[in-house]
Amino acid sequence: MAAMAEPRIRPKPSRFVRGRLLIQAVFLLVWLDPLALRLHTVCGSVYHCYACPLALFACPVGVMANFSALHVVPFIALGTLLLVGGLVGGFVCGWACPFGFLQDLVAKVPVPKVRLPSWTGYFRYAVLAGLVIAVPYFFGEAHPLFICRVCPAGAVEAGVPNLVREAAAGGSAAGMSTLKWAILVLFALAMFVKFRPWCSLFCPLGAIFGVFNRFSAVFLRANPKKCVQCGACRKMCPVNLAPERQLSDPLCIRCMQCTRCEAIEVKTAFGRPERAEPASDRQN
Amino acid sequence: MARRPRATGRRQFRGGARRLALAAILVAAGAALLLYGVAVHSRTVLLKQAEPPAAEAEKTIQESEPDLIREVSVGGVLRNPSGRIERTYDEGESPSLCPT
Repeated sequence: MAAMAEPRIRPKPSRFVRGRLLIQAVFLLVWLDPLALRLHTVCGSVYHCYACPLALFACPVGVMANFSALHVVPFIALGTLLLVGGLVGGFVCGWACPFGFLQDLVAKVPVPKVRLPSWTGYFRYAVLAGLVIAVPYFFGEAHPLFICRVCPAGAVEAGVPNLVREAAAGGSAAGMSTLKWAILVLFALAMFVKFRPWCSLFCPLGAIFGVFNRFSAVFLRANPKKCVQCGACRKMCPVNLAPERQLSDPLCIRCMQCTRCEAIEVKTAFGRPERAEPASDRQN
Repeated sequence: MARRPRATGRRQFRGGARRLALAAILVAAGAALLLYGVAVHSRTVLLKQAEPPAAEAEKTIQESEPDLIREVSVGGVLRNPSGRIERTYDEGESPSLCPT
């Protein structure tokens, strides 16, 4: 039994996991549209405001909200989210989202971080149902609580850059509303004291991809044969989950920090399933 | 701390097959919606005109969903009080460029 209690923790995350910031940076470069293609007829799969002067694709949340205001079903946005979510689920949040990348970079500042209970993540569904679907549908896109009017990603990626651009061109720099400035300042402060505050509390796109964590073709799995219930994975999880039993939780951004524990592995639905086990294991 | 019962090999196999089936259904449904949106779905958009025209003189165009996505990304269309989708800019003009 003493051997069972030994945590099987690797001293460092794998090279792939350690390279996450680099991979996020590469994705950011793609989303920033270096070839100036402006493919705004295409719906993207990450939280990147289409009003940004550098945006390759249209933001899926903005498209859904605006289509809700038009009373039109956004087939392309829904299809994109189903397709990407069905393949990789929350990996989009942890590895490709530019707004998540920004929050990850700020989280590197060594300030004690607040850890909120994981149930607070369900607030994201209220944002999705309320600000993305209901408010636009019933009150139109002019309502002050329309998601794009309160979105900090829009403020960071579009509002501020457009203000700077207008000011540099000698135009009037009266861009964002007071509400949006307030949200931007609050969000900027929150990034220092909470890991990914937007993603874990408000992000409607993360709420959608989070649901796919349960069904996606690429997923994480805790191997019960290797898990000794030491709790080390909980300390590694930046979003305060218990990975050994919450690997499909909608809040998981698939940062893969918990894969330092040998009991947690990346799996694909296309891989060969494990069939029979030794007879001694079957009685459980 | 109580340990959870281990999954048997057969249960794991069924779980894997179910996961593959669910993922395949989601991906197929996503691809179907995407294809429908790109190739089939379109909406009638009322063009902006300087003066309110008579009903029979209204100018409309049929915009595909990709075009509608581009329009909403630049604040180019709105739902008017009569429930129809209307362009916010005249032909030859630029839209607002920022929907917020």
